[in-house]
Amino acid sequence: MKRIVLLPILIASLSAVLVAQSSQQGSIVRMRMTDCMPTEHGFMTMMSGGAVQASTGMLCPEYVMVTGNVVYAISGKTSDELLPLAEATNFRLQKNEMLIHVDDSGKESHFRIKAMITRAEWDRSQSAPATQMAQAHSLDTTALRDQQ
Amino acid sequence: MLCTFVSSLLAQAPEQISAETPGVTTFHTQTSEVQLTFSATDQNDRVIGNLTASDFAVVDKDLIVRNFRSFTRAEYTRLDVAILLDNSDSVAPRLHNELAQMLNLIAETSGVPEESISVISFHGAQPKVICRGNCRNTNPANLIMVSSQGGMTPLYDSLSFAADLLARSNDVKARRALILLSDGEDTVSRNSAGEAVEDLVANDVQVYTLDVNSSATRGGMFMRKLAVATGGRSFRLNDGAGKVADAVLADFHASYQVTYRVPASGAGFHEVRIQPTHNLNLNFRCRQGYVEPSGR
Repeated sequence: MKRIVLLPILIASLSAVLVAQSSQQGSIVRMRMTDCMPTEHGFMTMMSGGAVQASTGMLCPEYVMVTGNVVYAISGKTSDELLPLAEATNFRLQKNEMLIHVDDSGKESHFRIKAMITRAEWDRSQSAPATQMAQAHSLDTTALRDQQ
Repeated sequence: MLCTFVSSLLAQAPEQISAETPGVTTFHTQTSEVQLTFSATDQNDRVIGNLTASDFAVVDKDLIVRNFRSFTRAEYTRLDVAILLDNSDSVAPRLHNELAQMLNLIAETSGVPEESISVISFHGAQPKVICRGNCRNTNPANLIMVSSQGGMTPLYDSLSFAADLLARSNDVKARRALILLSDGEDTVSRNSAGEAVEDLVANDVQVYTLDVNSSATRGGMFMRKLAVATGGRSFRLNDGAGKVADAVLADFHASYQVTYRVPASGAGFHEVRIQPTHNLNLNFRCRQGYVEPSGR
């Protein structure tokens, strides 16, 4: 009987620990506005041979987030999906998205992960000569190619 | 937030070592520094007077700058205003009241230590200075002279002309503002729209536009973009001239200056913007960028 009572408590505690562990912290070091990616529906249309949706005509924010081990290039899905540029940003990963609290409402904004590289590779690119930096910074060549 | 990018790059040169006195080695170093002037408003368009350095970050050519060399309230002692008036027959008759109201509001507002108001009209082939520096007592009826010269409107040339006129004072304690009353259409300029914007940005002139169009037009869109690019604001005729004058004065009274090292991202045009670090309801407005003459 005692075990039955303790089991839900144990499960709840483990869940809390797992959630806490999945939360990570990083720092946003770059930002730019770039063409919004076509919707998933547009992607499917393109893959099935339909008309290519080249651009939505809107500009969406794109960020480079540096963490201890990994550097992410992420993008918002709409033009007004902006992130506060604090020194440290808490986030968690879910599938191919980065979930970030942008205000105190508790609501998380979903950002697409466009590319990622290891922190070591990123650090090497930062110390590379300027001519090499453009390539090294291009986590996603389409998204970041004009940075340098 | 209205942010004016006041200036510029101070010096750029590599570190040097020299021996000016025997036995004493002197290290010389120069750094590139950017100085930005900006102002901020909240979600209700109210000016923020108690901003701190931790409330914002600068995005300079994609790179985020949070470590500033200095951050202070801007201390302007002088307001240089030029009103650029479209005197074409399709526009001028609608501007009489707005111009009179604007002149009164700016001239009679206390708290501006020293102000200078000029009025430039454009019609025909050339812009024309109606009065310079001393327009506060001029009868607006004398300023509006409807053109009969075939509707020629050299708007872009006139913007460059006004930028040059405002820059002549060369007073670093002066805030330069240009108020444009127009429909945004140009028919005869030698300069392009891009060149006009460059001249205004280079001379640190903020543009406040009053669009006389009653509906969305290409000219109206240009005026909005012009205001954004220079760190000014855009208004419609329905808003009234009082709102334009209020915006000019509010930005004069509540602006900040921040300086930081130029991020190592090469020569050329650096697009800048200011973004909040915590409160996304803060709105910052500033000049769209600066030109770094050489890479480091």
